[in-house]
Amino acid sequence: MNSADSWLPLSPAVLHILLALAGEDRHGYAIIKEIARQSGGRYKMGPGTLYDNLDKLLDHGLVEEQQRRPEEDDPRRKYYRLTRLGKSVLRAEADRLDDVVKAARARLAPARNGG
Amino acid sequence: MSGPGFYQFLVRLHPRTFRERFGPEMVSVFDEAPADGKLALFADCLVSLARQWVLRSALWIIAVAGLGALAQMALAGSAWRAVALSTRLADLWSASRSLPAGGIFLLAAGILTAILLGVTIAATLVSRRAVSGMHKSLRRAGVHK
Repeated sequence: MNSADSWLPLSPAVLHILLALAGEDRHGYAIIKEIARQSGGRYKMGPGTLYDNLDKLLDHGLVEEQQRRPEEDDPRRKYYRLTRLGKSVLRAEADRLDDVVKAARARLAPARNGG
Repeated sequence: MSGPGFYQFLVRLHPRTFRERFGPEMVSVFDEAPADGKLALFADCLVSLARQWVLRSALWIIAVAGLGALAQMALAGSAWRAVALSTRLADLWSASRSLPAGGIFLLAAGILTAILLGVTIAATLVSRRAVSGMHKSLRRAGVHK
């Protein structure tokens, strides 16, 4: 089992955070807004949950702090980016979820056909 | 105390390492959040406080290790009392020559030893986790310096 697989399955919070950072580097509030957008407003993550998970992800090297920031930005903000390990973990989780969805579709198909 | 002031106060109550790492950004998120979402942020901050102190902090582990040590000392005291009592009983039983006092004494001593050993192992495992948590905190402090 490689280091990416040892993280699986991801919790919904970690999955959404990694997904939010997959497209671009974001600060905390932008991650919260992106997660709300991704989930169609069904998953509203608070800062407490976000930073508790970011704490772990930073410690384990899945996410890193981005030193460069836009000029005239709020100095309290920190920007986070996905590391190579973070991308591997997200890819592995996407593959796992893909298998789950395929298995679910395969099992539901006869029931659907049978009425 | 105003809403933002109270939120800052709640953030300040978090463990130092977490507060230093994320406190200012948590407050900035509160400042940016829409007015109708601020009540939920207070609830989230209270849950976060409990999570950081109860689940993530090493302090409760040290407290459990301390309680384990106290329990062990109390058990040891009880064991010595039991030994003294058994010895007295053994004397009585030896005098009467009617009961296998030596066997009972050995059984009681064996059970007490097993209990003490179990408590010692549990306390050691808990202490190891506490030391690991403290190492993590120190590493974080180094990173931030």
